[in-house]
Amino acid sequence: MIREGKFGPAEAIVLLALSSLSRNFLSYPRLLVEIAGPAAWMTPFGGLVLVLVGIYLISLVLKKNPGHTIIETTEQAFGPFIGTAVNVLIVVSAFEMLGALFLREFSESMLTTTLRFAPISVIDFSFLAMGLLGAYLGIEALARTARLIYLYVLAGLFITFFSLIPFWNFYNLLPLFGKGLARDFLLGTYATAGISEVILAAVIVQAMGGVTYFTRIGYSSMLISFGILIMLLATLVLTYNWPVSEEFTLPFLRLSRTIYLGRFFQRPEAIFILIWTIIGALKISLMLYGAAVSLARSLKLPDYRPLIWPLGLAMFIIGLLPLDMPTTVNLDNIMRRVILIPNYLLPLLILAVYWLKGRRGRAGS
Amino acid sequence: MRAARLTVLFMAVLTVLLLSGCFGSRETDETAYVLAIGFDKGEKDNMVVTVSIANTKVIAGASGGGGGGGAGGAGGAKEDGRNVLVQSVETYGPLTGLEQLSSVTGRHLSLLHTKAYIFSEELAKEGLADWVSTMSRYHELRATSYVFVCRGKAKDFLEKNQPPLELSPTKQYELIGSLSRAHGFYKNAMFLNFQQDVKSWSVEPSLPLVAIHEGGLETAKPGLKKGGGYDPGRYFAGELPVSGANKAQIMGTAVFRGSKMVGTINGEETRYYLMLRGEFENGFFNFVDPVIREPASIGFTVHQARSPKYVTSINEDGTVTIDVDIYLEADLSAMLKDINYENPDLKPIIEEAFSTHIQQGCQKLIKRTQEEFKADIFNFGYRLKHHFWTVQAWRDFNWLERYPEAQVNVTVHTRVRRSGLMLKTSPAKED
Repeated sequence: MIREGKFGPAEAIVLLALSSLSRNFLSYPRLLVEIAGPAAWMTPFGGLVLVLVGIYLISLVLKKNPGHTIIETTEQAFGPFIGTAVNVLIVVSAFEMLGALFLREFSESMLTTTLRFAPISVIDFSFLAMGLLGAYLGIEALARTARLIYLYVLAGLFITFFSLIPFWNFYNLLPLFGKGLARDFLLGTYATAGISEVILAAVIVQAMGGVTYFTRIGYSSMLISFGILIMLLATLVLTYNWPVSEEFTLPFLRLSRTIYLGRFFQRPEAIFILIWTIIGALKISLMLYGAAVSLARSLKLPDYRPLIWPLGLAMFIIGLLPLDMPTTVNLDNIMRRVILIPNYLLPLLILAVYWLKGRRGRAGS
Repeated sequence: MRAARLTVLFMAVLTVLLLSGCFGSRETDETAYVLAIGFDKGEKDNMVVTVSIANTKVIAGASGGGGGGGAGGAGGAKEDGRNVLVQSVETYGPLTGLEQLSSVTGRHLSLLHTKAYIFSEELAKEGLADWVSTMSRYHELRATSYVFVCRGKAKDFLEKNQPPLELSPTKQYELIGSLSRAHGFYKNAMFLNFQQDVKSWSVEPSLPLVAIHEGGLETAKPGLKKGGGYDPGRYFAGELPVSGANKAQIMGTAVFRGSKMVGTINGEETRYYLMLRGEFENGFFNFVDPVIREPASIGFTVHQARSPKYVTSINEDGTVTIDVDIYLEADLSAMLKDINYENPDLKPIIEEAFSTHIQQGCQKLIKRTQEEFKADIFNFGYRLKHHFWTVQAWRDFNWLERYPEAQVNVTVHTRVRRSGLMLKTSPAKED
C-alpha cells in the first residue's frame, strides 16, 4: 500500500492549476498565436470544453472502482497483462517524457535569458534536484507548497497583465476570427486539450480525497488554468500584434520585459524569473512523482520512492537527447498530442470494456 | 551519527562554494552600459556603429557634488569630463560592432540599459527590417527603448548631443517621451511600436526625427509679418533656429513604407498626424486672426478633447471612404489685436476659423501621404479591419496598396473653453 498523504480540495485545485500554468511560461503561447493569429485567445475555449469532458469521463471510470486510482482501474478493466502494459507504456511513459521535455525547455529558457554561459547539464541537474526532492517529499508536500505560493504566482501574473494596459491596442484583436474558425476551434482545441493534469488527477485521486471531490477539483483547477491562459493570450496579442507575437521564443518573458510604467516601475522580470523557477520545479516534481507512483502501482510495489532515482536519471538523460531548443519545442508539441491518449482515449476504452463486460454479464445471467 | 554530521558539514561547505557565483556572471565594474546606439551607412563595410557609454566615474562624481558632465566636445570622457563616452566602429552589423568595441573599451558592452536606437536617414532609406530583426533576437534588447531617425549622421548626433540639464544621459531619452505630449512636434516611438508597424498590414511605420543643429538663429524661416508661416512647428529637426548649449533637436517625423523610409513631415504636420491618430495631447497653435485679416495671429493652447470618431465604408468597387471627426478643446492664450473674442457671440468666429485651419492642414497632410509617400501612417487600416472576419480576407483586401485611392474626409470641431486669466479684452487707447 503506497502512502501518499492527504490534502484538501483547495490544495488540490491550486496544485493542478499551477502545474497546468507551467506551459504558459514557455514557448507554448507562441504556438497558439501561430495557429489562430489575432484570435489566439479563442483557442483555449474548445480545449477547455474537451478537458472538462475528459475529467467527467475519468470520474465515471473512477466511480467503477471506488477507492482506487486510474492505474488499478485500467488493470481491472484490461486484465493484469494488458492493463500493466497500458499503464507503463502510456501513463508512466507520458509523465516521464513530459517531465523530460519540461526539464529541457525550462533549462533552455534559463540559458536563453539569464544564465547564458552555464552548461545545460548543470541547469538541468539543478531543476532535476528540485524535482527529485519534491517527488521524494511526496504529493502532500507539493500540494501544501502550491497552496503556499499560489497567491504570489497569481499576483505576479496579474501584475504583468495589467501593467501592460498602456501598451494595449484593441485593434490587434481584429479580424475577430483570426485565421478562420476552423483553425481557432479545431486546431486550437487540439493544441490546448493535451494537458497532463487530467491524467495526473486520476493518478493522485485518493490523495485528493477520493472520487467524490474529483470532478469539483478537476473543473475548478482547469477553469482557473484555462482562464489564465486566455488572459495571457489576449494580453500578448493586445500588446504585440500577432505577426510579432508568433516570433517570440518566450512570450511571457517578452511581456514582463515590456512593462514600463514611467521611470520608476520597470524591469520587473526578475520577479517573473523567480515565479518561473518555482513553477518549473513544481511541474518537474509532479511529473516525476506521477511517473514513480504510476509505476509503483502498476508493479504493486509498496513504496514509490526507490523509483524516483532511476526515473529521475532517465528524465535527465531523455531531456538532454534533443539536439536543440526548436527540436525540444517540436517534441513537446508532439507530446501534447500523445497525452490525448491517456486523457481521453483510455477512459473511453475502459468505459467501453466495462460496458461490454456488463453486457456479457447480463447476457450470461 | 558522526558520518551524518560530516556529510552535512561537507554539503554546507559545498553549497558555499557552489553559490559563490554563476557561470558567465559579470560584475557591474566589468560591464560598460551603452545608453544610446547609433547606426550609419558604412564607407567600406555595412555600417558604422556608434555607442554612447555611461561614464560612471563622471556621473558618480557629479552626483556627489563634484561637478562633471556638461561642457566639452566630442571624444574621450576623461579629457572633458563628459558623462558619456562615445565610440564608433565600421563593421558588418550591430552585434559584430559591439564585440569589436568591447575589445577597445576593455569591458563587455551591455545593451540592458540602452534607451535609444538611432538610425541615420541614409540607412533608413535602405530599409531597417534586417536590423530590427537582429536586435529583436538579442537577449539584451529592451523593446521599450526609443527609436529615432537622424537627419545627417547618427554618429555626429551622439557625439554632439549634450543635454545640459541632465546628470544621467538616459534621462534625456526618457523625458523625450513625456515631452512629446507637451507640444506634439514629434511622436515618441518605442522599439516595439516600430517592430510591430514594420510587420503590420494595417499601418506603415513612422519614427521621430532627430538632428544636430549647426549654427544659431540664421536658420529661421520668415514669419507671418515677413510673408511666411506662423506655426511654431514648421521646421524639421536640425532647422529650428535655436542658439544655446545643446545642439541636439527633435522635431518632425520620418515616414516609412514597409521598413524603408520614404519621406519626412515637419513638426506642424506631425501635430496633424497625431490628431488624426487620436494621440495629440497638448500644443500651442497660431492661426490668422479671422476678423482682422492682416498679418496678425491668435494663439490657442489646444488639446484633443476625446478620440476622433472614424466612420469607414467600403464601396462596391472596393474603394474606401473614411470620415474622421476630430474634437479639440482650446484655451485662448494669445491675441495680438484688442478684440473681445471672449464674448460668447464672437467666440464661434475664432472656433470656426481654427477648425478650418486644422482641417486644411490635415487634408493636405493626408494628400501628401497618399500621393507622395503612399503610406497610411494614421492607423486608418485599424479602423477598417472590422469589416473583415478573417486574416486572409484582410490580407486579400490589401489595404496598404489601396490607401492612395481612399477618400478621407476630415471634420474638425473646436470649442474654446477658457480664456486664460482674462475674461474680457478692452481696446488700448490710440497712440
